[in-house]
Amino acid sequence: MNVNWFSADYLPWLILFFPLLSFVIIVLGTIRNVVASQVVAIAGIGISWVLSMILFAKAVWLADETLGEHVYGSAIDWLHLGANTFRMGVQVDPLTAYMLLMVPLASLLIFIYSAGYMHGDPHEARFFAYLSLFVGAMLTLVVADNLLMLFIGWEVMGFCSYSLIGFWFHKKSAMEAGVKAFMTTRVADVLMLVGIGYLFIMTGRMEDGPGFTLSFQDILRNEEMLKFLVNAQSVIWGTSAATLISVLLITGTVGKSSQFPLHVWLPDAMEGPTPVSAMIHAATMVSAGVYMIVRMFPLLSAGANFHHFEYNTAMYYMGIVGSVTALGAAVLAVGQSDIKRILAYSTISQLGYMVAALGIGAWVAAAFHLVNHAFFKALLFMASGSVIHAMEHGEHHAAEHGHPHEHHEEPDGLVMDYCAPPNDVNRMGGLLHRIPITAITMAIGGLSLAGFPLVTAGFWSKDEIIAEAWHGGLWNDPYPLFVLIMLLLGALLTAFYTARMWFLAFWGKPRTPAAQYAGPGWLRDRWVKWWNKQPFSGEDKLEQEHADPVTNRSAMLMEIPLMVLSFFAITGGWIGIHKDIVGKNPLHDFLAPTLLEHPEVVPFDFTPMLVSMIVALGGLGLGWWLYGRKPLAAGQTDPTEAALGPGIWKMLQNRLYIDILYRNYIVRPLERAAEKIVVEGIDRDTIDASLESIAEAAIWLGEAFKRFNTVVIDGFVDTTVEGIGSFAGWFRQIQTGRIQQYLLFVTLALLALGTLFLIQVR
Amino acid sequence: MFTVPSLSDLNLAATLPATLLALGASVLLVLDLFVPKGRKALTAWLALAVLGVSLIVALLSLGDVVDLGTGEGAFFGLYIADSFTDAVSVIVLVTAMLGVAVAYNYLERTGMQRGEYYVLLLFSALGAMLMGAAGDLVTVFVALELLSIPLYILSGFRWRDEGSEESALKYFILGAFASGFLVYGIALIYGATGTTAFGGIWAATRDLLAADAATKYVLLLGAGMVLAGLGFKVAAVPFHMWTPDVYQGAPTSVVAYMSVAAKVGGFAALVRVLAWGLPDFVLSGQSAAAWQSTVWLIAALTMILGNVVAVAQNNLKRLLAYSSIAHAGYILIAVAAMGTAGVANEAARAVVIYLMAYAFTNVGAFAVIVAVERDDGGHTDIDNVRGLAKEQPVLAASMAVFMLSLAGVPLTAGFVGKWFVFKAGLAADLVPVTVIGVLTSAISAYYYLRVIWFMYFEEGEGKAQIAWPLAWGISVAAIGTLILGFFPYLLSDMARGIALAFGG
Amino acid sequence: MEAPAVATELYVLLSAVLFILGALGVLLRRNAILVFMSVELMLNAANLALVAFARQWGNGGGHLMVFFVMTVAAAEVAVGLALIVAIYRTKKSIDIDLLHRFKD
Repeated sequence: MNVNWFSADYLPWLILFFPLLSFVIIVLGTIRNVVASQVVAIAGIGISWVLSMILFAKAVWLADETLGEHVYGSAIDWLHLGANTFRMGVQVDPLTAYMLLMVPLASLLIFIYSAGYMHGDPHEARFFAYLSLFVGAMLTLVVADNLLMLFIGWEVMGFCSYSLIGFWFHKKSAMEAGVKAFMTTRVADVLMLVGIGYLFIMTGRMEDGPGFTLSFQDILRNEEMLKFLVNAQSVIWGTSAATLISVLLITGTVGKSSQFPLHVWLPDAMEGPTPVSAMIHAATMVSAGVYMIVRMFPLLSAGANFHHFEYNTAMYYMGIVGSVTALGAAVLAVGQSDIKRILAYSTISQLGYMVAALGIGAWVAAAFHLVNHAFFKALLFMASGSVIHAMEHGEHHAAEHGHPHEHHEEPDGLVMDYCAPPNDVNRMGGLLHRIPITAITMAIGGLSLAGFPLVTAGFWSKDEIIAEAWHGGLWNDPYPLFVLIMLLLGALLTAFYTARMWFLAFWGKPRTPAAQYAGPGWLRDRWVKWWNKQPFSGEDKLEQEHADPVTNRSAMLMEIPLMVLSFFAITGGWIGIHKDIVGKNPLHDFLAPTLLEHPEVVPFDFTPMLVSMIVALGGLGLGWWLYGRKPLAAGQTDPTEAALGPGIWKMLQNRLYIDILYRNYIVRPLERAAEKIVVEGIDRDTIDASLESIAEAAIWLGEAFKRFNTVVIDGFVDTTVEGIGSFAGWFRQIQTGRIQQYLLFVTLALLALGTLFLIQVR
Repeated sequence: MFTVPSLSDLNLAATLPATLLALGASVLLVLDLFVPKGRKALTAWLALAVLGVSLIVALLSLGDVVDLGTGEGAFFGLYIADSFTDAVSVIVLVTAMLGVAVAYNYLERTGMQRGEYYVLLLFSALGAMLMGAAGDLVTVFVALELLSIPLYILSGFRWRDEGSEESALKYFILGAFASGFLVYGIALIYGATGTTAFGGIWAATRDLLAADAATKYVLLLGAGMVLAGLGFKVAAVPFHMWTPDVYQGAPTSVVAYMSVAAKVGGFAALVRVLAWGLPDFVLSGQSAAAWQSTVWLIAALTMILGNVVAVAQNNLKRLLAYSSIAHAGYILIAVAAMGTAGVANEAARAVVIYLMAYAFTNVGAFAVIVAVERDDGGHTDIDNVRGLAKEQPVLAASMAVFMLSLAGVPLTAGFVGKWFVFKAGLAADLVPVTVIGVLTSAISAYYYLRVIWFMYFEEGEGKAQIAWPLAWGISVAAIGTLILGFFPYLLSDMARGIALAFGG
Repeated sequence: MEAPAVATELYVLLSAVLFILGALGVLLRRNAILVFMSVELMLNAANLALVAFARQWGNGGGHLMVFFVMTVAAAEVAVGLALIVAIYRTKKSIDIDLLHRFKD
């Protein structure tokens, strides 16, 4: 067999091969040598990135027009199944090519950044091994040509995220967060696997079809197949097979992309090192979830005619889950003080936009926002890591300058409203003058997230989603209207909390010694020179400060990727501007052939664009009004807190009491029931807590709804293990060790089974 | 009027793998008397050689490279030589070879090195093979006892140790009780159909149902009792109670072998009895065989109980005992699927695939415990693998592979097995029990990962004793687990030829 | 030759009674040897049923099975008694209810 590994058909194999190779080399060889491991890991992803760029260029400039109808790809026979053969392979169509523009690039930058961030960690080599495996799995998922291979990448990523979130395993909270992430996503994965299996079975039942298959080409670009799946009855409630499969697959995404109601794991995933957060939030994990439903969209929307505003169950499911998530997470982000947690909720919210976009049929917009979001969210996370790093340094410097270390007690395990001191935006302030590069790049990322009009990437992709919802919503149907309202409210809050975060962290005067001595960042000396020359600096002249070269090098390693990403956070959006504005929409034209039925372009309408501009500027303006105009001083109450009142504020900080409620209402009762001491009654705390929460529920409408979600979903996830533990205790009682009791049990069971056996005969 | 059968009528050649093993075992029994006490390595090597020769013959026959004998029946239908027989033989022989490798050092260092060990192991392997070849209930019974009796003795091999003796006696009494049920069940089936041969039972069942005679209840009762007898062997709930106690008390090397061999034998016989003898036992107004709902109910109970109770275990041998109960449940899904017409062959293949994957993984997992265990039989708690990754990185990595495979993570053999079993379940429209299977295997990830957690993330001594036969056994098991995971078509090809004559 | 004097059903009924007696013996006796004897009773109940059915059907299948059951039972007893002897040496008792070292 003649294989030209550098032809576009085989290149995808190489792209996923190199990070995996790095993983193997590090694990088997260089695990004891940190520098070698760094080099191997960065080289692996670097080669992968170069190859991806070649492939992307080929797809964009050199391809025939029919990429989409024909794809690049190759496959090997993997499993013989009677008459069929299951093939495992890779494919590159426009959607994959677009993902390949983002994933390796963002990952490469995260790798470089990690070299600075993890400097001095005792397990740094292992960290790079996991990162490489993580990226390798993501690339496998992106280039896969069938659902099974996609799922393999998906599961390996689940394992990597578990290991990486719990990377600092001596921290109990990190360990718990890792388990929480794994268990939550696993619940969804299991349902998704059932969906995949069911799809597989159903494809085999089609007459004159391709036989048992999970290949994207056979299913998604095969009208007969889609029609067959829509018309086939499924096992449940007389729904069609397509609906059941779609709902199961989407549920996989709900877990993986942290959508309501399985959103609980992502905020706690912050316990891992910051580069991991950047990885999970941008390049890999959560993007994989959205990528999967973008990929499977033809199946999910099969039977719906959304151009004419007829939607199907799967689309309603996506639209409602997505828009509820988009708004709910934005509300929660407003009430957080931990800089990483603010960003975590913003990720959940932005992913909600993408899922909701698919729910109303805005396919191109969803893909567009997915990639833009990855760029600016990677930027924001890495910038927040740089801030945290600077704050930790600041703590040490402050000690040298005579400010005693403040004593912080780390909680033992996950505590909902605990905020680690270096992450706390209330303890920052004035960081603009300490880490100027981070401040500026974070401002760019933040503006993109907030959707600052006309310039940023975030604006164009978010605007496109809103425009499509507007198009459907105002004239036709309550459902797109609902999505539209939720998304607009979410956008307003997004702009607001972004401004709040930035002004609290970077603006005004330092509120603690740690902030006063934070950093210093790369190029601060130049900034000081420039600032002191400016007339507006007035009395606020800054002093130069000597930074030691090691700190400077790691600050540089962290801040260079920020600058690269800033570029993409702005320009990434320019390729997808509506064709009525600039004459041509290259992204739309490029992506459209991926689908059998090319997506339509909604006619350009100035109104939604104006509305989304007003919303973004309004939110930013409100943020400036509250936090920028008169910066928060040390010891002052947060203006949002003052406006909302301490009750609601506390509620937000405690994430709507999700976990406390679950502990009171699910875990404890279960434990008690298991221990058979229900008789002893419910203890005082629970009674007090329930009275208190009843009062709260009366005060705040809507709370009840969220509580439901909390109890049912969070409770389910977190109690699984403990619940099983208590059941196990019950089962174990029959295992007495006495032979004759066993025999008696067997005999009784036999009689029971025999009775059953005879009953069905009648 | 009475013709004396000639030797060629027996079609002896078709039984070559089993015959070779029987001869080898008998010869070894005598030869061992002449092997001096300090040189029992020779016995072990000879046992390996016997198993190896038999394995090669079975593999050649399975791969259709050579055609042993004429036709598929031997000994007038008592022995059936088809692909299923060969596949079961291969699994049993691989398990037995790994069992010998795992045992040698362990016996040496615990002072149990006696030649009978290997001879008994060979005989029980023969029993397991014959269960897969059974074409008659008489064969099922004799093979079951041939499998079980040596295992009773092996369980008590560390005599003068109360634990080992207790576990042997428990196993024995419960096993003998179950045999009683099996034999009585066979008697009832014979009473209803007038024959003990599967072919005859199958034909008689159809007539019986066509005539709608009351005798069908006798058949039903008999089938139920046979099911109970075999259910005991595979440790299905509610006949599972011996498993944790026996596994904990018996010498670990024995457990490594018997946890797989007994299961393989039991399931092979179940497949033969249910899919060959009773596939058309379909009661009026129903679409699936009469035993299907009972079997899937047992499967569901087995998976739930095994996985749930395993969560609470701290002794590794006990944990794996419950895990082996849980795995019996997964396989029972496929067994239940055989009750749906048209799915029988696919389901039987799934059973074989699962057992092959399970053989490597489970023997390997117990082999790691053998390495960790102390000479006095203690030190088998999950605490004792703390920090194993630091002291014994390769051993810990192998254990991690086994645990991931048992949990059914993709790219391990365990995943492939689960995939086929669940697929068979779905194909037979057994959706609820398949969903239970998937959900409980999600639970199982918890306790398997816990072992990995202890090895990698907890501090501790992590001592282990590995000598080379054991190291080879573990390596073969780990590599096998991974290879079968990466190249699942090896498994599906192995099972491709399996077609049960009547069940279809 | 001459007509059967006793109906097959009665033999089977007797065998069922014997089987249940045996099972109860296993369940209730605490002496290991008596438990073994009860197991033997269960097996012999099955033998009786097999022989009765064999006469009913007029073929040899039942007899064949009976021979195997008897042989296997002998082997089982040999192993069982050896185990009891071993246990008696260590525990000085053959009360099976004393064996509950392993449990959850």
